[in-house]
This record gives sequence, C-alpha cells and structure tokens, in this order.
Amino acid sequence: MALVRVISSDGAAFLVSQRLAKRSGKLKTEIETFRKSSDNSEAQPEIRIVTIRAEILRLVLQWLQQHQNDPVLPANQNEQDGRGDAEMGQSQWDRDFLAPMDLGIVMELILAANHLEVKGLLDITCKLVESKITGRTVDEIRTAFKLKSDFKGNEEEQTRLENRWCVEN
Amino acid sequence: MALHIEVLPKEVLSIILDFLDTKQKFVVRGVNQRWRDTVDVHVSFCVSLCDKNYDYVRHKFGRRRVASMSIENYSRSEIPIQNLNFLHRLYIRKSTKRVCDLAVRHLLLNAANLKSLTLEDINFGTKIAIQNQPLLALLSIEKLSVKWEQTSLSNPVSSKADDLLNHEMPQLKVLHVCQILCAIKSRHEIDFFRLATCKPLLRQLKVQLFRPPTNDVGPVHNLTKLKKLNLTVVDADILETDVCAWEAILSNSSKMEKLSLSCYSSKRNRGFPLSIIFPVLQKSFESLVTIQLSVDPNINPHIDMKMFSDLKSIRTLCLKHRDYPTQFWLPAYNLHTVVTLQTLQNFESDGLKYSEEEIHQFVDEIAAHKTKIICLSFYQQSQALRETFETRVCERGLQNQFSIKTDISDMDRLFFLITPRIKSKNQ
Repeated sequence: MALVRVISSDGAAFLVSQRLAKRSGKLKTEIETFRKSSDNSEAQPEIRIVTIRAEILRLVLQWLQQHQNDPVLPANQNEQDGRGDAEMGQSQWDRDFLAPMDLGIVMELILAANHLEVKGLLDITCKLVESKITGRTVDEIRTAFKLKSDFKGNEEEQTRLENRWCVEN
Repeated sequence: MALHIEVLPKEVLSIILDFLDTKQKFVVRGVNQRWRDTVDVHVSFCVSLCDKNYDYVRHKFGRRRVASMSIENYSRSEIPIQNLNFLHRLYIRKSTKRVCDLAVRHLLLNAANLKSLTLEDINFGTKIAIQNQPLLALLSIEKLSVKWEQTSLSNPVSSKADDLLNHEMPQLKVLHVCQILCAIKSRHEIDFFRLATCKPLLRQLKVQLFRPPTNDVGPVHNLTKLKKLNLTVVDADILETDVCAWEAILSNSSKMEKLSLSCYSSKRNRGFPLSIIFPVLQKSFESLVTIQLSVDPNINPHIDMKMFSDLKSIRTLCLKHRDYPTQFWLPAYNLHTVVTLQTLQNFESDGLKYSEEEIHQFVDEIAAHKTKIICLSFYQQSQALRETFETRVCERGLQNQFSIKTDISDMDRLFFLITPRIKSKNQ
C-alpha cells in the first residue's frame, strides 16, 4: 500500500495511505506534484502542512478515515446542489465526532477543511456553526461568538431599520 | 489556542450563510460591519413589481441585490432598483395593463448581466429596440422567450412581432435558448428562421407559430445557413409550409438530446413527413434521450419502429396519432424493436394500431430480453388488443413476471401498464 507522510505545523508526522490522502484536494495535488518531480516512483511523498497543528490534522485524518468510501464531492459543486448534503449526509458518527468540540476547535477544523479542500468536512462543520446561529437574536449571536458591534454613528440603527421588515415578519 | 469566528475568510462565511434562511441572514446582518457586508454580497432576491407595490419594492429592495424580477401592470417609467447589475432573470408580462416601454427600455439598457428574458404579450417595438443607445442586456442574454397569445391574431401585437423576430438583433450574440410561441396574422410577417440563422450559438429551440390557413407560398428560407445549426433540443410545432426549413435544421444535428415535433392541426396543414427526422436518428443516435412525435397519417401512412433501433441513450419514446380519435388508427410495425432498446424507460403509444402478430412478437421479445422498460402504456387501444396481450403473456408463462393494470378513469381511454417485477436476490 502506497503511503504518504503528512507533517503538521508543530512537527507531528502522520503516515497515511495515499488513497486516503487523495480524498483531500490539496493533498492529492501535492502527491501528484511530488510524483511528477520525483525520479524514484517508489519514493514516499512527504507533505508539510504549515497552517494546521497536530491535534487538528489528526481530527481531519480521522474524519477522512471514517468517510473513505463516501463519493468525493467536487470542491466547486453548485451551492444549491451541494449544501443539502451536509444535513442529508450527516451521520450519527459525525454528530458524535463534533459533539465534544468547543467552538475554537470547530473554527480550526473549518479552516483546515477549507485549506485541505475536504468538502464534506467543511460542510458539516459550517452546518454546526449555522446551528448555533439559527433562532438567535443579534445580541445572542454576539454573545455566543464573542463579537462586538463595530458599526459607526447611526449605522447600527440604520441596519436595524433595514432589517426590520424581515425580522418583524 | 482557540480561534475566533472572525478568522474565517469570507468564502467560508458564505458557506455558513448558505445554510441560513433569508430571515436569519438578515438577523446576522445586524451583528457587525463584516457580517453585514458578507450578507449584502451574498444574498439576492426575487422581486415582483407592479404599480401597487412600487413604494414597497423601492423601500425594501431598492439597494439590494435583485437577481430575478417579474413585471406586470406597471405604468411608471422608472425602476425602483438602484443596481441592476445583479439582475439575471427578467419576466415582463402584460395582463390588465401594459408595462411602460420606457421602464422596459431602462431595464434592457442597464441590466448588463441579464441571462434570461421572457416577454409575454409585450410589444418589443421601436420605442424599446431601435435607438442609437445599445441595449446592454441583449449582450448577455442566453435565453430568450417570447410569447404572444393565440387570440391576438388581429391584434397589433402580432404585427409588432416583426420588430423582434425580423430584426437581426446583432446584440443577441450569446443566445443559446430561444423560445417563440406566437400567433401571427399572415406568414410573411414573421420570419423566425431568419433569426435562427443569425445566432450561431443557438442550441435549444422551442417554436410554436400559430398561423391561420393560408395559400401563401411563404418566405424563401436560407437553407444553407439553417443547415449549419447543430441543436441539442428542438421542441417545435411544424407547419407544412415550413417543412423544408425544419428538414434543413435537422439535417446536421449530431448532438440532439430532445426532439419533440408536432404539427399544428388544420385541414390545410398536413404536418411533416417522418423522413425529416431520419438524419437526426442517424447522426444523434448516441445522444438522443427523448423523442416525442405527433404523426399525421395523411402524410405518413404507417410507422416503422425499426427507425429507432440504433438509439443508444433513448429513455423516453412517445408516439402519437395527431388527430385520434377523429380519424382512423395509424398502423405501426415492428413494435418488438422497442424492447431491444436497452436504455428505454418509458414508451407511450397513442392512437397507433398494432396487429395481433405484432403483439405476439412484442411479448416474445419482452420474455427474451427480460425487458428493462419501467413504464409501458398503450392509450386508446381496444379491449381486444389487451386480451391478445394477456393471452400471449399466459401462453408464454409470464403471468408471474408482469402485473397488468387497467385504468379506464381517463375518459373512455383504456391503457394498461406493464411493470416488470424485480426478482429478489433469493430467487
């Protein structure tokens, strides 16, 4: 079985099958680039991911391992076609996988999924964030995500007036 | 190290917004500047504009991204949407009150990214089209639908149609889909085929030109240019006087996916000979998925199903007798050929007559091929035919393989479905 060594930003190395790694758009490109530039076809590719730390990379690989037999979703899939998949395809395993994570880890996982081009993981993590927004007021959202208003002057009032028709209905 | 939601790039925020409904998006819009800007870029609206809701639309949507707009009963000349660059679909319809020409012209002047334009009972007259200023919208339109009511035969609308269809409209450079449903006074007033020859990118064509009976010879079509068209979808109501033009259009089609031909029913219109589709069947045998034909027995004394035998991708085959039941059945031969079409899922036969021998062969082929046909309907056949079929099924011992359902609820029509039973894995 052909393997690839994936190294996190903090130096931890993960040895995974190339078949599994190629389910990430980014890793697939890196492996193919390595193959083209390497004279030795048996050489093991080594890919350093400088933006993802070990804990997060391990989670991504764990998710890929679980979903290795799923059909690969194209990264540029039409939004209206693709977004439903997160809800439709979310398994109990996915829910258990995400359940213990705090919001900070989820944000890192979203960034990692976006960087590594793992569309399925990106969708379910974004869906998790959406679930923390839906049904909440502006103030509740600010509290949940530790956000502050940075509107200037009467911008906030203006925005509130612009949104009134939708919020009141 | 726990990250904050503000580290997410805007493209990721957009994915999160995709999951939110419109109301919640506007709640999110009030959180801070970044979220407001993301929502404003992300959300687009569909707006219906009329005189009564002008103020509402101006107030609620005036500064928003409006992607789709329908207009009717609108007499004002101004449009209450500030930025028309996001407008992709425009539907203009005359109902009780006509839409102001100046408003239409304003939209077509400024909606630079319009992809789809539908005009229903609208005069595309000189006030709108023929002026020095270029209509930006026409540069990007890929789908043009024009519809005039049949009842407007004596209406000035039909004479105005000339402005749209006979004008070469060079600005319509990327037109892919053209749908024309139109009633006209005389056949000289609209030369649809001239428009078609001017648009090399045209791929899908839906045409119904309702004409009164006429003895006119008709316009001379540029057959050479028509032969250069290579369409993927044709849905046309063919007049006998236009058969040569359609023959030219279909002669070179190598990528046809859907072919739907019918003929405007009148005593003077005999429709089209089936021979005009032979080149399509030969050249598009790999791409054709749907064929729907309304056949006139006056010009086609019978149908030979063998003409479809080479089709590799066909899923729906629908054959109809144009005037049934006012006239006799149309004899059809080699019915068993349809069973050999591996991809066929739906076969409809309406007003076509099969001999007892044909039915026997058909059942035999079904037995031999373990057919994959999912739904098979015979409309307007006699009870005797059904009995013939059932008898043959019994003779072949296929009772357990098919369930036959009779439905006579649709007026006096008799049709039955034959659904292959799926064998379980244990069998």
